[in-house]
Amino acid sequence: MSFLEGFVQGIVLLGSVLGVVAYLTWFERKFSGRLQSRIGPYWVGRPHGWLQPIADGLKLLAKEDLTPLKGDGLLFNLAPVWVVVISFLGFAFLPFTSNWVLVNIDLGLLYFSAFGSLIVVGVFVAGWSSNNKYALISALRTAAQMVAYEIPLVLSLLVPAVLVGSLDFKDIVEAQREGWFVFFPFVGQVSILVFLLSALAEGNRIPFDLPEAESELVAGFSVEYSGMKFAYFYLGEYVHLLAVSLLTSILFLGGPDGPLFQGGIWVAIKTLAVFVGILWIRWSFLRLRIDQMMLLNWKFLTPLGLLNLLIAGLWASLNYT
Amino acid sequence: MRNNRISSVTLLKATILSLWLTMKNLFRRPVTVQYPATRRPIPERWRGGTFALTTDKETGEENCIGCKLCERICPSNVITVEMEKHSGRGWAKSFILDLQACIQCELCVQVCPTDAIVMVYGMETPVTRREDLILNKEKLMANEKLYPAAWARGLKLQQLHEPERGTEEKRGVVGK
Repeated sequence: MSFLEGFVQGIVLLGSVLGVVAYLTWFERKFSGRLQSRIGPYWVGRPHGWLQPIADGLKLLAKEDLTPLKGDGLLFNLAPVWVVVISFLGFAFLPFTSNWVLVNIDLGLLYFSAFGSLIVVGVFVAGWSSNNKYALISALRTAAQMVAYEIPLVLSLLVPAVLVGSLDFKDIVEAQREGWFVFFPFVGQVSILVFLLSALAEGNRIPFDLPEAESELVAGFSVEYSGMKFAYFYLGEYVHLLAVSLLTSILFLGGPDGPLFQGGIWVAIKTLAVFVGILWIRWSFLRLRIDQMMLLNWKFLTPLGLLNLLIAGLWASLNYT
Repeated sequence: MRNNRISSVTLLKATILSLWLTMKNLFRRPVTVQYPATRRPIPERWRGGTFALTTDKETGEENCIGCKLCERICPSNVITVEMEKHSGRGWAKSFILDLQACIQCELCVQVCPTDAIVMVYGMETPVTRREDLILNKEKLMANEKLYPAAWARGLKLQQLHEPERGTEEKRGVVGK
């Protein structure tokens, strides 16, 4: 792949991810509305609110862009950029169809999880440089939460890799032609459960949205942000959410494999299904307390993930030797 | 902490129940009423509009006799009436009703002995300036022509409050 070709493909990928994320926010609002017996977006682009994401974007662009005087201006402005860039970088390694991936390397899974864990730096810096007590408390919480949940997340990500014996997404997708990992007895179900729970915590979603617990911390680390910089955090969160849904469909639900036909359509369908599940969880449960959240991680998810990985490793070693 | 632990069965039940509740909503029609396009019907005995001072149907004379009963009963003291007497009866020289603090309790309508003050049947009576919320006698009289009157009227409500005429047997309170 020449440089120009790669550049063009990258731009296309970036644009399509942005477009998909914009309409994911629309879908989330519409779906949340229905879960609560409301209608959701309606007036902008009647009768389904089709133009709502564009209206939101324009509104955020027109807002005043504030930087706190007493804060650290440089870090304050860099943090949202960091969050967005890091969230997007992970997409380069994901295979959207069985034969197309932007950056084709053997260690895709490793790179993906590495970039995923770097988001916490941006969020922490945002909270720190805001010079605001709520933002700082939220930043500390975020650091504790995201670093802690990184462990079960990676433990559950490793299970498909161990079962296949490769960190390459393509190999993992290829191996699932015989059977999706979600149907793998015990190991598959446990690892998708652990993965989804810790991914929710990583993405600061309800029921783990302690970093921006509105009732305690106003808006958490983003309390001082306004306009487009705030939108960057929002964008980063949604891109992360999309990445999580995509990753679930690729690692556990067989990716482009499916009945009747094969290809990117199945990835899209499965991704949307996972996203709907995340939304459903969002409006059904309450926010956990911080100690409960930590307890869930250290006393439940991490040991379970370790045990699961051990079983998967035993199975793999018995089958490969 | 340890003593008031919830059992895992209860937790699991609650988890499934909450998921079930949200899913039930998903397959239900939204309850939202798109207000300016579709309007919910106003109940027959609606209480919540602005006020009007009525005039007699036949003679066209204003009904208010300036007795100040409404001023006395108003819980938030928003009514101020001045009385004057000529041509054999009382008149309201001025009648000021400050809607800014009105709690729409309808007590002034209930006590009115001449059906003079009534509330109007309707909820879309907004104004754009705060001065417009202080209703003087001219505005109140004009409101009678502008809006239909609500169900409640002073004499009607007083009759409802009155004990039923007749013997105690008829009212069913004998031999309690």
